[in-house]
Amino acid sequence: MSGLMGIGTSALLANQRALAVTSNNIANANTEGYSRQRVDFSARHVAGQMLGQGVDSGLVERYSDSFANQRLTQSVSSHASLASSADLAGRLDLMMSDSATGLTDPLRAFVDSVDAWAADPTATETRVQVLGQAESIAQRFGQLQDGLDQFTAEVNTRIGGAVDNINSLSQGVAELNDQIVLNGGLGNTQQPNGLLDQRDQLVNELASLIDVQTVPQDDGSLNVLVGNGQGIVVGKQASQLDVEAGLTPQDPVAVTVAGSDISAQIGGGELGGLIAFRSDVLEPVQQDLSALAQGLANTVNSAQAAGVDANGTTGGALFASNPPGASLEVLIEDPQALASAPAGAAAGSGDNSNVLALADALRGAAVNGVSLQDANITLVSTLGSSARRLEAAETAESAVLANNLELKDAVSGVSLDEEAANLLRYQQAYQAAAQIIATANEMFESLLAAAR
Amino acid sequence: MRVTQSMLYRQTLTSLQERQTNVMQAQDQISSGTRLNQAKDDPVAMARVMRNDDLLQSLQRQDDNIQIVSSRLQFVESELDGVTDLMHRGRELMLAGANATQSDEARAALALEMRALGEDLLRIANGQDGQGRYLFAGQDDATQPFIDSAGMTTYQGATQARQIPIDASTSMSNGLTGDNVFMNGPAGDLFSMFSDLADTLEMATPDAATTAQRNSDMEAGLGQVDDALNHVLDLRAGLGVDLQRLDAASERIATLQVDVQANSSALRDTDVAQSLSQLALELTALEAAQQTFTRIQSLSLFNYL
Repeated sequence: MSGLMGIGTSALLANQRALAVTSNNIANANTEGYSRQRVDFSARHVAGQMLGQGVDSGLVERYSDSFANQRLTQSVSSHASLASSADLAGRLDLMMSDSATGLTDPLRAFVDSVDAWAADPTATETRVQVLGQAESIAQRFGQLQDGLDQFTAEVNTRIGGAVDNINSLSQGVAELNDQIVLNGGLGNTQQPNGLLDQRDQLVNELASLIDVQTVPQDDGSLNVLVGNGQGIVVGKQASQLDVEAGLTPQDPVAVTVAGSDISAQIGGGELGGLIAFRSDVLEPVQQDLSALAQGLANTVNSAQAAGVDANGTTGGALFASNPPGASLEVLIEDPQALASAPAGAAAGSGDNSNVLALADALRGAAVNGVSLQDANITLVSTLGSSARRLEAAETAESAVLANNLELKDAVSGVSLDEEAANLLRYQQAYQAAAQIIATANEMFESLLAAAR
Repeated sequence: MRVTQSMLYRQTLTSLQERQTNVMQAQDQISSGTRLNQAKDDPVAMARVMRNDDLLQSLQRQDDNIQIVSSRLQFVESELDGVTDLMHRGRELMLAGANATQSDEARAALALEMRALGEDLLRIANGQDGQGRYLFAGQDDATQPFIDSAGMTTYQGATQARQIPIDASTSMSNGLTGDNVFMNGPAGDLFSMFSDLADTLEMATPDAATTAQRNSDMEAGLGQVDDALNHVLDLRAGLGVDLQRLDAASERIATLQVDVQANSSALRDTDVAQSLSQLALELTALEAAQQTFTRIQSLSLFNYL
């Protein structure tokens, strides 16, 4: 009878515990990063005895698949990287291709003003038009340079913010490592499920900022490596990432670990996206735009130098370029200082051949073997292609991310229907166990009555 | 596969957002009228549209140039008409003067008119277009081309006419240079021609020898007037050819403009019918996603406990 009591009690306790775990699962159905748990039941045996002695409720286990977790971590990294670079590239593309902010319209208007000047070379109004359009295009180059500088500054600021976040997250992982080791690690005893969930969550947050490799250790701690294997978390020790600023706010910043620059090795996370945008999109655009500004200045200035102005003197430079920046300065204010006539012509000559030569040169090979307008078209369409490619890659990667989230969820996520079934199942088992105790009690009563 | 709560939520949310993005995109394309807001929407189409726009601007400028040149050539043409009239009148005066019955007084009157024709010619040669530019000064159209001093008319203008592009590879002169029209033709300097003719008409003929001299001078003068007339008619014919070329070039540009605009429009403009049906499709899909979500959410085992 005491055996029966014992069995009943063990069943009551075990199912009560299972009910608690099930309720906890239901409570955390919407908790980010929570892995569902279950109680491990085992039949209680005493060696040498035929009859079982009830049920043991063992460890509370956490459903977690390290392979699925790792895949998720990787795709979190890739997606965050593409999301940040695609967003930036799309905005840069808008700046370069929108007619209100891009180079296309002022460039076209400048070339056209030169054409109009060629048709009427001595008129003041056509010369004033050329100077006006020269001012507009110089202003537009200046605005675009400011825009590019703002992109650099934004990338710099965001790199700084991401590095700060990485440092606090890696500190968090290190602290969790410490607690996990103290709480039994990954041995055969009860695991610290909540802490493990938290750590997985932090690692994923880290991965959204920088691509990480994780190396589980035997004591239960997790080492986190970035770049070429620089450990930012080793056991309970976290190392800081640093940001090394350039000379001016417009200069690109570098990400360093213990003094060594790892910018080039960062391939994922927001940081990787920012750095990839900077080197693959922003810097080429800056170079192309500067080449365009210099090509325009050289073409116009050499045409000026080849001719004479309205006073019969050799024309001076119209534009001053400012490499490696793309800004231009207009040097001429007097419309009569524009050189329409060829060298040797008298003052006030109506000969337009120098303007015709300029109009031809503007349509000829002025930048890297192509015309200014074609160079601008190439710039805009190349940038557009990059932005489109990044956007498509981001779309693809979010599908992968969704898949990997599902894979992880399929193992670790809470299903309310399942929990409802479990709730019913353990409740019934609990009621049955209570019945065992009642039965044992009745049997005991019967025995007492017989002895009375 | 186990289906969990968060999976259902996430999937629904993702598909709702996707649908809403598509709806917004279709709506944007319909209301803005363009499907090319920035290069990433279609980089190849964007490059073509930009190239087309550059071409359209050049075509517009060439068309403007054609209008400028042809308007100036029409001025030149009507001035040459005036020159032709002067030549015809000069010829009539010579024929009248050659009549042996004319008195000296009558010849003197003819000579006076002949000199007046010379002055008219100078006025025409210094004629201007609507912009106040000299028509016969070549490219130096701000300079008065013909100056008369002490009975001698000299040419001050340029020997080259201004070249104005009318398409990517062709330029045309925007007028005739005065030296070619009035100085260097087969009849030589037309201003001195008129004064020589007046001198001939005024020539005193006291004896038979001078009368014979005058008659032969009259003959030669008539030949000179005919040469000059033919010269001017040749120049006019040349202008007619140029004006026809300009018309043809302008028509070509108009056709090109239509073609290029149609090409850009096909690349850039929203196909409204297609976008509208796309919008309807996306809206249906959005509604379906919303309904599915509520249906799925209402299914729970807890409802039956």
